[in-house]
Amino acid sequence: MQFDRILILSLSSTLLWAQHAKDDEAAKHPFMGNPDRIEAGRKTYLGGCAGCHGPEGGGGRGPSLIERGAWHPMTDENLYATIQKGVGIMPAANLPPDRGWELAAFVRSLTAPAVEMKAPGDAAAGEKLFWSTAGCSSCHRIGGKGGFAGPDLSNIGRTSTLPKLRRSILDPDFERTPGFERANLTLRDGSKLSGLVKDRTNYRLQLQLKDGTLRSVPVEAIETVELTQPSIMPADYKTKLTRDEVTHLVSYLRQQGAD
Amino acid sequence: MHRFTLSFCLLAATAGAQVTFDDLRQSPNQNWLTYAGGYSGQGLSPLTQITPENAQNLVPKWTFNVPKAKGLRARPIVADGVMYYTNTNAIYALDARSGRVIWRYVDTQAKKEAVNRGAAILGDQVYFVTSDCFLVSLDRRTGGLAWRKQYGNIKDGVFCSSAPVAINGKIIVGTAGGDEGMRGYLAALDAATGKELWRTYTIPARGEPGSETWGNYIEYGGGATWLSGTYDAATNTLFWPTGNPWPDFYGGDRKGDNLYSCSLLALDADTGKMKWYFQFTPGDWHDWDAQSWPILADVSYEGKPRKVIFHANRNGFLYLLDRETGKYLKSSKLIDNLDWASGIDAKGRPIPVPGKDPTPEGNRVCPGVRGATNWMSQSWNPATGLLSVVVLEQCDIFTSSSKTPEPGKNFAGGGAGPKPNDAGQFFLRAINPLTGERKWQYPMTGKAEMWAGVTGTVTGVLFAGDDDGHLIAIDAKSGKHLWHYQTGDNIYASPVTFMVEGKQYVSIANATSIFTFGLFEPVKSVPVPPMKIQ
Repeated sequence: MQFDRILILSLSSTLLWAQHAKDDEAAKHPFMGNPDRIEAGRKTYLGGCAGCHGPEGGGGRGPSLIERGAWHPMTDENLYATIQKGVGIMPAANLPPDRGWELAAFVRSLTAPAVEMKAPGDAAAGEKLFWSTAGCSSCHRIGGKGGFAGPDLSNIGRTSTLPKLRRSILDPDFERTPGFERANLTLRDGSKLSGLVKDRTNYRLQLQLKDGTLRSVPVEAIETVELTQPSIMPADYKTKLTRDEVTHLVSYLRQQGAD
Repeated sequence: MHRFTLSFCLLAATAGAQVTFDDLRQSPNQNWLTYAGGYSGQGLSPLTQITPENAQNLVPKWTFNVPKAKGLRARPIVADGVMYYTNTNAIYALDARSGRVIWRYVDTQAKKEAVNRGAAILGDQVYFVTSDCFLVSLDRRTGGLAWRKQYGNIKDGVFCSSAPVAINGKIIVGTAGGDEGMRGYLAALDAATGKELWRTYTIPARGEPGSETWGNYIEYGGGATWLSGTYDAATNTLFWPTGNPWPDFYGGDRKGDNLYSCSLLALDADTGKMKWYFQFTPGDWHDWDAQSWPILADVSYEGKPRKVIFHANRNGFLYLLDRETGKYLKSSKLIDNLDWASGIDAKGRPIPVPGKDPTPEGNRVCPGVRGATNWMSQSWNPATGLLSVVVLEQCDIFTSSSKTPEPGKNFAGGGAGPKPNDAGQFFLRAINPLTGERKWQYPMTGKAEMWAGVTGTVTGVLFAGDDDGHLIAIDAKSGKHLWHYQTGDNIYASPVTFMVEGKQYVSIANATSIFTFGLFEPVKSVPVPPMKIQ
């Protein structure tokens, strides 16, 4: 069953992207994807929507807007109509059409691949943070360099969104990437083995050791397993980094996977 | 014994060391590191655990359903217990013992969807091509993207499907699209950076030597390079087959030999410069690409050691060429239904039978458009002197159109296919390529729809896909059936065999899934280990 879960999670980014592409083709409103219009929409959002949906779109009294509904995707037209007319307890915005479309473009940008979006911040400063000051590279890899303890981020700008990048830095346990549980094994021959669990069934564990080596261990060889499920990523970046530093880091990460 | 087995398992299960050029030269061994298994394309594994005597004990070990798969073409590569398998714009790293996913990479930027034939590996990287002709380099341990480099543009009518070939510091990539008008080429990219090091076009530019063998449309002449070639590391030579000239079925506007279509090219791997060429089907009108395996072999020919190439061609003939010069040595008929040429002359040129070109009304010609064989894998066993090759006995109705060709408009100058109730039949044939003598054949039932190939082992077992969706095991000496397994769908890919943790496995993909087999072992109850979750 683990297999199904991993597969669904892994495909989710693809589904999101595929849906995004499909919607883009269907809508073709000139404001969608336009950085200036998105920025204008963000201002409108902060003035009228952030109170319920959260300043970053992560939700509050209203639902999160950064989790795209893979099974209930909304066309751009429907998104615009929902903003303008309201739904349930959400009031109608009743904005002039251009402002309505700017807001729709901003909301859509929350689920667009980060690399396609403009982001504030200094990517060069973010790069420095990643590779030295913030210590990200001791666990994460980009372009074949870095550690193996966390997800490889070489293509993260394509597979994540700006809000999710920010959230994964500030609240790493919110959404864990599968394959990064840590296991300490005691084997029946008395030896010990530690690594990240890339895959686990009742019959075999696929471990990745600290140096990146993969090791597939049959369960019958295992005496005991200690599994650490919470994210091993430090949860204190919220206080360790300034708001600007997080913005720089996001700006750097969004570039990964760019042509 | 238990302890010993356990220790062995854990040692053998490690996957981390870099794959070197020397490792690639030694493949296949316990690994299967290239699309063809090894540089020579011989399709023969040295593994000895599965034999004709015990092949009847093969059982399925695992199945992996490849997401979104519709007609898988790829043959996996296997390195240190990890299997890398490609589908359209995607690659999966699987635990080769269990079929479980270790990582996956889906290329979300690709702007075209076409079949994909496989991956390559070198150092810490795995490589595959997207349908829109980007070579993608990924960390083989994590699937992390190192780079994607464009080496072709779909706007030029090119798309990409072939498994790259990794050699010393270079990744060689081919191009597809020859049925709609494009100019085929082969390129070498730097394995570390993706920088294009050389590019060799298979069709000369107007004014270049060879261009006099064309009329109009040379700019769109085809000569695609969609099947991976073979490689002689001793002479640093690539041997790469080229595809049909365009338009496929009407050559009235391109009278001449149409160099270097339907040919085998020998290229210097450092520069891409052509050492020699041999054209199997000059001025082809039947879409008989030369996309079949140039198998490199060292044999005794006419009493002397000789480095040769076997090439079972789509046009119906099995060729024997000198590997160093490209000189034609000999040929024989692969199939019985061959009526377009009466034979091959002393220089290796077919002797055409008049009246066998495609016509507007339709003309029945043998072999059919898919050829006597195609890109399905073959197996050469020097010990038995037999080449095992899947052949199709089929004749098609070839029609032509003299309409003004338009590249990129799905125009091939005509078409071809069998008459209803005239579908052909596949055979697995064992042939002495030096004499053309057929040692045995294994006839297949089915609808003549598959593309499955054959892989051999030194123990004398041949694994092949059949035309009914079975993986079959055949005795290489006698052609006798040993074992079969129904995969539940057509097979369009070729098998591989490898060893992990001291156990030999056989894998093949059908249209949608990868199946892996091994010898039967009673399953012992596996206790759930005490697990402490923090």
